[in-house]
Amino acid sequence: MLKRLRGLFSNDLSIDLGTANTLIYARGKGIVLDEPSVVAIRQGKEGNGSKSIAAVGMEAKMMLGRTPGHIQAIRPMKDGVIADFTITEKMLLYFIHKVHENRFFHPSPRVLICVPCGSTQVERRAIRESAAGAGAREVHLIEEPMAAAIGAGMPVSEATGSMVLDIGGGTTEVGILSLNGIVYSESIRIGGDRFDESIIGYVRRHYSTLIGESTAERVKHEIGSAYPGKDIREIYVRGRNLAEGIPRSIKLNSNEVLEALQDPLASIVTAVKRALEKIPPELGSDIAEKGMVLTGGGALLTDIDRLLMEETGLPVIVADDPLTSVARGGGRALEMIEEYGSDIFSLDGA
Amino acid sequence: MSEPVFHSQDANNPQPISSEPSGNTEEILHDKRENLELPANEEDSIFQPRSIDEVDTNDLGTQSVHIYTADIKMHQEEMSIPTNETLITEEQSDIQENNLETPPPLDIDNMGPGEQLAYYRVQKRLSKQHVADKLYLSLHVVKLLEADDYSQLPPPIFVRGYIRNYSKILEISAEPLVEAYERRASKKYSPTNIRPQVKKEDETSSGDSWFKILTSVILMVALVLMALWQIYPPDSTFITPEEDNPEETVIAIHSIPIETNGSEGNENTYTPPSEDNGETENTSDNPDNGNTSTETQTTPVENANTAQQETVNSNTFSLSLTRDTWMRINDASGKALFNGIGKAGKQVSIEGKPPFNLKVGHAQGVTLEYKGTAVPLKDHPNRRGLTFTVGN
Repeated sequence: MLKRLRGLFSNDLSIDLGTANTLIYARGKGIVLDEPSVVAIRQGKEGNGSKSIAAVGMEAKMMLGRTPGHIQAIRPMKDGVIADFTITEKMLLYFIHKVHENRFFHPSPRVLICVPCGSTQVERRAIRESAAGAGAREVHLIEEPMAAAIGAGMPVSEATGSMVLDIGGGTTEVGILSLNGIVYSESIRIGGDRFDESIIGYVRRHYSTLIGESTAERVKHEIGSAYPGKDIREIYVRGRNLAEGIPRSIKLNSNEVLEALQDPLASIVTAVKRALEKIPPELGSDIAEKGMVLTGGGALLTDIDRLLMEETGLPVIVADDPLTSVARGGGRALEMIEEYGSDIFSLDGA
Repeated sequence: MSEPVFHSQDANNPQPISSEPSGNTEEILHDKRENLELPANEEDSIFQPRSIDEVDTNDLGTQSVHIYTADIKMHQEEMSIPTNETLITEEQSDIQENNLETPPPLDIDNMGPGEQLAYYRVQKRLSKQHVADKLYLSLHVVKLLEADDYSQLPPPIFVRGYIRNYSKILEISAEPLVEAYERRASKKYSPTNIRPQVKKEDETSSGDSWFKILTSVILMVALVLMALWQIYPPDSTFITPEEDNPEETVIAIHSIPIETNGSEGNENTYTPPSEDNGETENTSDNPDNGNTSTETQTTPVENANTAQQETVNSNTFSLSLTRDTWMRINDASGKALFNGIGKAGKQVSIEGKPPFNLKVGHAQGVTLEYKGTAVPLKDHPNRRGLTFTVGN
């Protein structure tokens, strides 16, 4: 009863609890929060063992790899699922509080969380309980490809095949949808993080230099591409030379980054081809006619649409504002659930 | 210091995952020629004179050589920028000629995105088929796109994507075109499924500010009412000794008139002893109550001025229980004389200050005698629980 009452003073939220970023979409307000899924934990005094939250989100991300002994900056989500249950709960609590300016009532929103389609029942339950622990009065789960497709504005309710490829931080989801349901979906644990790792590995092999995750991410954002382009871009980065043990500056160009990214990109292309192989021919023909839609942060990698077009021979388009597609889709799904009841999507009641 | 290992060849020319169509030259040329979709007579008109020129200069005479040289020429053109003659169809060549001579100023506001795309495509000397191949779309879709006919195209998300990809091929900025498309599409179609849904105006949600204020007000009122209810419970407000006509106010409260031997008939007034001025007559007797165990004490007070006789000190009444029932009996001061379950077959005698307020859970199982007179309790046969006031 009290929860319900508090719910009147809370917004309906759709949370894209991603490995890299957490986005919150509030109904009627749009995206109200977009912060990295990072938590900095401060270890208590010796012998005490108590932990406290030092920072969450953007502030904590700045600490990644730069923390002293008693502070640990961690990413509680790994591969799209919860790696650290307690910290995730704390992080969600912090985010939910942050989006409610009204502190008079303790917020108790209705929450819809997007989960990878390949997550297990145990993983889903962990996410559900984390959200409940963070004060949500009602928790719905929706599979990410569905949310991404709704957010991109694809006609998921119609009897026509829609294909969406959501390249997130930890996972890449391929989904083929029709009539509000998922016909085929596959989740591979490759995403933006794997791109970063590949760049780190490449630089270590070819330049004997170790660069950090944040640096690798910057390289990816600035000169990363998935298909050979006309102009070659260059970037200077600093890392620790393994032979000398001291920081050195090296120059990377976009073709090198492209080469570094070949492995994860090949896995994504394979997953897409596998999906196209397995779907019924009618849906395949719909998709061949309209094309597939890319969402997620990975869609921002330069020319990834061109790569997929060349590989599959299908039209490939990047959604508007691909980073927020899933969260926006979740918000819309919440409205649809309110209108038509929770049976409209094959939501998992785990 | 170790030199960084740099694989220049690999790094500068990495292969995409799948190899480019790397068949022999003839296959490529075949494909390219198919894509041109040139009418046979036009193709002849383009290629034959050239080959003849070549033949003349090189002094070669066989037909096979003609074709070969023509193909090579075409291949070279394909590799570099295609020429007007090879890639542009008749209708477009007209437009292009005009454009090349006197390029009209672009009226962006009035031109649809498709028109603009077509304009830039012609500027770049590309055929529709070439664009369709690059975008992996059918020629039909490209034509519709350029004609700004969106009725047969897929939902807006796709159209916007096509426009972006098309602009990328033409190397022009996509956003003005997408905006132009939005303007045009919003006029013709209501985009229901494009943007994140904006809340409808007439839809009430828990997020509305007025809704929150209203809820707060209702809550406050409810809390105040609850507080009042706690402070003044309904019993104490309705059933008080001061109440004049309880029958009129609450139906459930049944006032039982008790006959007294007063000189003034059925006067039901009771004057508490404290308020007594001593002007009383002894009116209260214990009329025939031999079969009860109650003790009735009357304290007659002589008073010369009045002829009234009242009970003064104590009043007793007895309850015979035939069934187990819950009862609560309060006297005039509100003190609980009995509160609990009376067992069947027992007789309960109550003594206190009248009037008594009785609440009986199971009225049909109770027989009440007050001052030896049986009081009927079955006036409300349908009601199991009753509230009575006795000795008023």
